[in-house]
Amino acid sequence: MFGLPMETTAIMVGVIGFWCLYTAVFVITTRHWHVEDVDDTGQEEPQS
Amino acid sequence: MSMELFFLIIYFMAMIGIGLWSMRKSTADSEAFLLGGRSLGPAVTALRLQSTSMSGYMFMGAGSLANTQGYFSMWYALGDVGGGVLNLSILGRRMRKLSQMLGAITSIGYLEHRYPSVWTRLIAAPIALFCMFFYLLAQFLAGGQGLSMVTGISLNWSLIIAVGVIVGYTFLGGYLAVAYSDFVQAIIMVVGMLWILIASLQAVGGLTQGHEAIGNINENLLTMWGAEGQYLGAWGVILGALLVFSIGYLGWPHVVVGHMSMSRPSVARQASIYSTGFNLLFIPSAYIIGMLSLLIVPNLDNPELAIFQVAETVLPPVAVGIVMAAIMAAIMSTADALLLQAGTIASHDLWARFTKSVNPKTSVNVSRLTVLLLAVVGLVLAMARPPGVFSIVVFATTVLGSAFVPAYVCAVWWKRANTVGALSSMVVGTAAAVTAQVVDSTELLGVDPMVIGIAGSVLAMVIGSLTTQKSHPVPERIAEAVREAGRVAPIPARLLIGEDAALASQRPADVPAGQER
Repeated sequence: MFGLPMETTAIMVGVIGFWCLYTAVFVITTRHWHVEDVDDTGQEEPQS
Repeated sequence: MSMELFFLIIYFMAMIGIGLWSMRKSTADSEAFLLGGRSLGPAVTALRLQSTSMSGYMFMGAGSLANTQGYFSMWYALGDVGGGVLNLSILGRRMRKLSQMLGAITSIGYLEHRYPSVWTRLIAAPIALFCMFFYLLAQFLAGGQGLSMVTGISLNWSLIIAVGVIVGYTFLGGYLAVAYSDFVQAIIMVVGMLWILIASLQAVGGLTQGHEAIGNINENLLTMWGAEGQYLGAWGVILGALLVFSIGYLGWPHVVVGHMSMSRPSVARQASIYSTGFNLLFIPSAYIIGMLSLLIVPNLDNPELAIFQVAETVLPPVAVGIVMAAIMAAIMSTADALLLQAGTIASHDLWARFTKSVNPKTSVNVSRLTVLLLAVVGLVLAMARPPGVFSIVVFATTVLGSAFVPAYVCAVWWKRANTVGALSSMVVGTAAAVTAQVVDSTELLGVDPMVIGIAGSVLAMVIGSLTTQKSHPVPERIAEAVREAGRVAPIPARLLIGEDAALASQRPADVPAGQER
């Protein structure tokens, strides 16, 4: 592909694809992080 | 006036303008000056991280390596592409939370708060300061050389101008100026690099034709194993190439401080998208242009000038000016972060910490004076043109990564990581990396010094922590803060405890608790 040996193409596509996948998985699995987007002065815990 | 000079003057003025604008917001207290008041959003966080990590190396070293070794150079790019998202996903959110809970506002102070001992700062600060100063020196030299090349001004005057601009906006606006100028510089860098890439591909008839022509010169250049095939099976070297710009950044104090300045812990999530996007566009482009330089400027004398020479050949004069601004941006965005962090370490983490004679208001001025002092010393040394500076850069960055990666990573991920483990890790990591560099482990063992340094520091952290759990347990307040950093929930008010009581006893007497920030 693109005039490159197959081995070079496989390594390039494989590693770059891995980082894209890593980013996508990170973003998807952290969707719930917004729950801590509150005032940074700290939140009082409920009295038990 | 040449078009190149015109664009550079506009660019320099814009950077000073950002410094002046930031000055109004950055003089309130140390947290405002050193962390931008923890106010940065995802785009600025991500692009500051990337432009700070990528120095003039990307326009000079990367092009040179690609020009001489072909696709082997891509091992560095392949690690580098993931460096930003690794940093943000491993450290980002947790480091932001923990630093706030422990009341830390500097990257070295953070380590002392997490691993409470006066020795943490006494060991970490000199290692970081020494390595960062030499890295800074090389950026000054690269900036001066770049400016001299474009304008024809003598190198000494170019150095004075380049250093003057960097010091100007860092001195004025502190971290906020550095962060926003780095953000703008990252955009200039990626636009400049893509412009050269597109023009280069047009010049050689496209990527496939370019590769075929390079293969006709030397087919090994299209493999991942070096121009002579010398790296085939050299996995120790290849692993080092992958690690140095991926996990290596996790230990660079001037890079990880960015996590502490995020407006919210969750900023790390969105920042990772910007970071990976920037890297995909910017990093491989530099190496591809370096390879295409074999076709576009076949009689190149100095491979380090490959990207610049290609730009001059394939772009119109207007575009060359913008590209020169991009090269200066890459250099200056690293230099400003290094300068600010080196100034912070010298003023806050060493002088103020141990003299106990600085109040919050004057500490900002002390930081500014230290920035100025370091810049003057750096400028004088740069004007003496020390030999082998770029070798020292490789040395300094390898030592930084080896010394600090386990300390920063374990701080938020391993609650049993204690002070003894962290101190052992920093000392062994530094010693291992220095030794590996001195004996040339790449030649001797076929293993990159980075691999040896990281392996040594990780082992020292694990063994040091596990064998001293009883004699040096992690204080409960810190263990609880580490657990809380891992939990996805707002920080309970009772855990916003500020600095350690033992450290507070060393605070200047006239500064009440809670006001030292």
